Amino acid sequence: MLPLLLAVLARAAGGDEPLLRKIAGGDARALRVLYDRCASLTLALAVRILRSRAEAEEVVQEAFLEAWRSAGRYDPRRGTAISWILSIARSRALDRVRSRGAAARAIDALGREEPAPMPMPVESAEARQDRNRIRASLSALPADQRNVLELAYFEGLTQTEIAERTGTALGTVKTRCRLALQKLAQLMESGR
Amino acid sequence: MTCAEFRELSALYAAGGLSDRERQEAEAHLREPSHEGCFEALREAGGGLEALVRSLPHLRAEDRIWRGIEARLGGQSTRLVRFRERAVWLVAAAAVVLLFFELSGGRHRAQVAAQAAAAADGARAQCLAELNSVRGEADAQRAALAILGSQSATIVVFAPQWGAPETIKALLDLPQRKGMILSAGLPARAGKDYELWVIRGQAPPQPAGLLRPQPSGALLAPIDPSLLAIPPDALAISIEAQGGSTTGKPSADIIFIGNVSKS
Repeated sequence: MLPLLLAVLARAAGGDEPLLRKIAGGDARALRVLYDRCASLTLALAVRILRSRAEAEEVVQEAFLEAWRSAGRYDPRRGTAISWILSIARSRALDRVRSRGAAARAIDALGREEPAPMPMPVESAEARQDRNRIRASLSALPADQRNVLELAYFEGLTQTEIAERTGTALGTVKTRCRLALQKLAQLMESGR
Repeated sequence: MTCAEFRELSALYAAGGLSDRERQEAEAHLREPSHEGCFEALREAGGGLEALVRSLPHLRAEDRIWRGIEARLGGQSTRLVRFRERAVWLVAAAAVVLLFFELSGGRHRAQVAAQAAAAADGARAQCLAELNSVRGEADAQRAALAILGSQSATIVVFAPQWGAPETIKALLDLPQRKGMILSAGLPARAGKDYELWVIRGQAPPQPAGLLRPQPSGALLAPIDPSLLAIPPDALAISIEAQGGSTTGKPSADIIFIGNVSKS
């Protein structure tokens, strides 16, 4: 439960807002705290989108530099600092995918530089259990809900593009995405 | 967009599944003053996405990633923190001095306490001034990094006109009308100022402000955005008497020229 414990501790300390305020004030140690809390997740997301470890590491750096520059604009009403950092990294990673061009995308589709999971000396048994629990719940989601979510979040498709690709109505795409995220959010809450 | 419509779209908004137009409409809605469950829906969707990412294979973020971030931040952050710590210590020390005199009593207690308070005020004012100065530097460094991070950034390397060894660069983001002059070793000259000029075609050089390096030779100065509304052909730097040229044109030699590429 280590990652969730960190989130609980952050909440107990007044949430993410004080940390982001320190970063906005130029405190690099606060940025380091945020980095320690979110870097692995951010890297995992970037690798999932880019399928290139080297590019993903650059995206992680860019995401935290962006957080450094724009911490003053963080709005806690919209979500946690982790959600905020992930959204920055996702956006940067998708920008890179889009700028690669069609040929590279075709290579991507074939699984370019498929990321091998790194050795995990710092991942505790509890963290691994957390991930396995979330994975089990994710695989328990109906395939069409999971598919919509992954196409939007990892592939960067809009609801219209998803509807075209999957041959479903726009309203169905909305509903599937909402239901999938509701279930996953409940899962996160139940783990806290 | 109503709150009900936003809540319907909130999951796709959080997951990045909206078109540009839909996203702008959603963002405009979030800027409205009152809401019925919009932010709660957004937080819920964010929690779901966090769970999705937590399901991915764990990857260890190697130390080199953080070192890269630190390198790109430069020294700005740690310096700012150091100044804050100094300010706290100075104020604390002044408080201890005041407390000592308060407790020790004596004929001159009030007088000495007043002097200590004045010293504390002076130290505090000095710290605040230093802090503000460093904050200004940090802001300038962030602005320069933002330009460097822009896809439309161009770097102009100034050519010294008569063997000056210093190197000066201009970081420009012309579509955004942003520019900074950067140098790591431009020596301050007693009684003189460097002045920046914007050159367009055959028109007379347009004054663009004084450049005042720090004693260390470091210089990071913004360029007035209004001077970049029409992209210049070149930038130039002259050495002028203190306060800059009084004639509106370079009164002394141009010592650096940098051609601005518009490609």
